[in-house]
Amino acid sequence: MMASEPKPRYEMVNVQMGYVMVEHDLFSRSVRSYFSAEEIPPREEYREGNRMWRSAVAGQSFHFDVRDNSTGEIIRFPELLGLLYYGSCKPESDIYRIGQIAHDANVSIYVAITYETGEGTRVPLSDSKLGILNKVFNDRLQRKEKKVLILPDLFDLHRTISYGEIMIDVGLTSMEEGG
Amino acid sequence: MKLQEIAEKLDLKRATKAFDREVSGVYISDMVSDVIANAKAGNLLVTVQIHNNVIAAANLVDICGIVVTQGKQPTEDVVKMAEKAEITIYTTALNRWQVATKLYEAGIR
Amino acid sequence: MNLRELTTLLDCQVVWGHDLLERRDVKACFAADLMSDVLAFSEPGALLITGLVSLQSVHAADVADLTGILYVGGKTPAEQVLELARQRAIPLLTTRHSMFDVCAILREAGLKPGCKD
Repeated sequence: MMASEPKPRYEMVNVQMGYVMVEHDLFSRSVRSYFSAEEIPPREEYREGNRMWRSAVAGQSFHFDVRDNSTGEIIRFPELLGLLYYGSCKPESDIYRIGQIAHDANVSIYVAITYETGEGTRVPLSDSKLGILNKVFNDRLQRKEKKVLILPDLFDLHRTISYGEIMIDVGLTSMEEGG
Repeated sequence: MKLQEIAEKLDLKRATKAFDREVSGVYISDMVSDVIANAKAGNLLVTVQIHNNVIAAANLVDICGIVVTQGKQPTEDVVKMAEKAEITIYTTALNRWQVATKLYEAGIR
Repeated sequence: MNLRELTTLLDCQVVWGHDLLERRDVKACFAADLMSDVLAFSEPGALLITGLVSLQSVHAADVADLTGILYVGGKTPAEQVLELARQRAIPLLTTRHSMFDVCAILREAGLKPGCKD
């Protein structure tokens, strides 16, 4: 209920809630992941060529587009699974050490994690889109001295992290108490 | 209104060092994705979920403070992470509805 | 206040349950996104205020015997959620207001917390 402020150049729009799905191929053990906006997440096993995919929900998350308010252009981010905060990483990791140094300079480091392709790689996120992502979040900050820096996964963190470490909602809909 | 003043009015218990800031509004949610998508800078976050990713999200969108409801307590890790991000965490035995209505009565809009 | 009056007060869209609105009285509210909390702490007959537009919200409201569900922040449930709500006779409303604003407006209207101690 605040007075309206001037519009930022880039703005998060078309926010859509959904599920982060992870699929395992029962034969080759390869893994792929994707976003599903379906109300009931797909859970069945299905064959695709010589692969048998079994899917599971990794967590709840959201997808969004970014609108460039200077041109009206809509930039989509279907490749973005979520953001990982450096502080959630292991203290001995490179990312944590970089994050600490950056923190002392009032910069908060996050790493953009993208979806898995099923071929052992991740969907690429271009530097120009990463630049826009940085603008979107920095434009929302209130404290002038504070900065957010979202980096590509130069550290191959996706090989070692679990989905619970990324900022998605795990276990939210659990009907068990304390879940 | 300042964070500290709100804490006194609602009789909240502080779980971290104090980082007093002006409160721009209130956002109530237990969903990390919801906070990232919809909360605004300077908002006071009211939640029953308190873990590392809540702090990571709060830091990303510049949340000024967090009120943890229903008597839940942050772990030591979470306290450290919040202090690093200069986010004050308060706890209360009240539930969300009670906190929301008391904040409203205290004059927060 | 009944759900029809609440709909007017909060400028709600009715997703399902038009016919039930006058008959459902709301004295208390329970605001939560964690469905385990709804089961553990909500009081029967309360209105659930949530940002979680999933099937679980209807399941939880059904099990906890809540009078209806109000989805906040402009979120709209999908067809399957509506279908389940129809089966369980639980009215579904949506509003653009945030959870905080909804709580503030309903508090002003004299509603009470719908929680067990």
